Amino acid sequence: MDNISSLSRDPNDSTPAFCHGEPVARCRGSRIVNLVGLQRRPGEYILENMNQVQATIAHHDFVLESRAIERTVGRVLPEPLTDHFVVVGGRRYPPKQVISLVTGLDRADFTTHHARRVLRRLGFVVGRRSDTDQARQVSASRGRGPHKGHEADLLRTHAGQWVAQRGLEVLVAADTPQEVLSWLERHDERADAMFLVPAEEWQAEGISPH
Amino acid sequence: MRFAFKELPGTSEDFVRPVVPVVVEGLPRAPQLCLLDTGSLQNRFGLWVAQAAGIDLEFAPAQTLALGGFQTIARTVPVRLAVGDAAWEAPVSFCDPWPLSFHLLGQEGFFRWFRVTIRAARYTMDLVLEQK
Repeated sequence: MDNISSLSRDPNDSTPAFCHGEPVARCRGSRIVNLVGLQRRPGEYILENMNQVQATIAHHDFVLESRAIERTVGRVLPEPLTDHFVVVGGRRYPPKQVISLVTGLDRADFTTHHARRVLRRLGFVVGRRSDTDQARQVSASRGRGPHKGHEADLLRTHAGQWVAQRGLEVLVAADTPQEVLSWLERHDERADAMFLVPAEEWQAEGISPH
Repeated sequence: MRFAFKELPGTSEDFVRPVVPVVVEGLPRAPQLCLLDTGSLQNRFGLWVAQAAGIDLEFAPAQTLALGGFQTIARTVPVRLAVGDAAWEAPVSFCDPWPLSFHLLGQEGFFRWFRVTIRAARYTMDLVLEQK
């Protein structure tokens, strides 16, 4: 990440930013080249396809690619959500965490709304916890259980992963229980329950097929 | 204390299981989901819990168990456990491998300490700590 940080210090540097050895965002210097002439908002341009967006963030110009973002962000566990989130690789991340990761910028240098806007342009789903919680409460469900299947639906995308859950919300999902514990410690969070979301039915039944 | 059943996703159907969150000494941030298993004599937990909680198993003898169709090696030691504001100390067998989604609470390690009412039709469990 340090080499990305160095990118943001020099707005005229057009070299690719790297994270874990892979290019994530390319800074294009202080002048934007509008490749297709479609300006959505000041400082944001759609390039040849929806996988790539050129954006100015904190006075630096970047070319951001959705697949590179997915690869980079997928290696990092989401930080605790406040209200806004973006879904990357099936996980919900704070938008500022994602933009900071891929650009190396300090989070204090840009707003959550700016981060959301850029990520939405790239095709990522953005939302607010408060909205999704309300939607959950009003939507009817036909499932079984105390939450009529909502809880199972929320956990389904984490099949095979260890999760820490508070209420119905998944605080963190990871491949190992150690990662989940480490995340809780690092973020000073406490879960209501921690468990392995079953990938196979026998893991929830308590019996193993021979 | 009242707890709701847990909904767990399945492929052909979802599961609704009577599980409660148990705090293991040394892991206060992550209560472990445990199935109320009247068919189990002892509490059975995954080995990683002991490792993460710093529970010493060095002098606990290894025992091979067949549980629910899989074989596992268990080492049993007394452990301080808590559910809500009720705490007790009971033997826990830490098992490796442990492929299940939850740990198991058994007769000696759990049910002798609590009066348990399961209302499966309403997906609730009520636990009351037994008086000594």
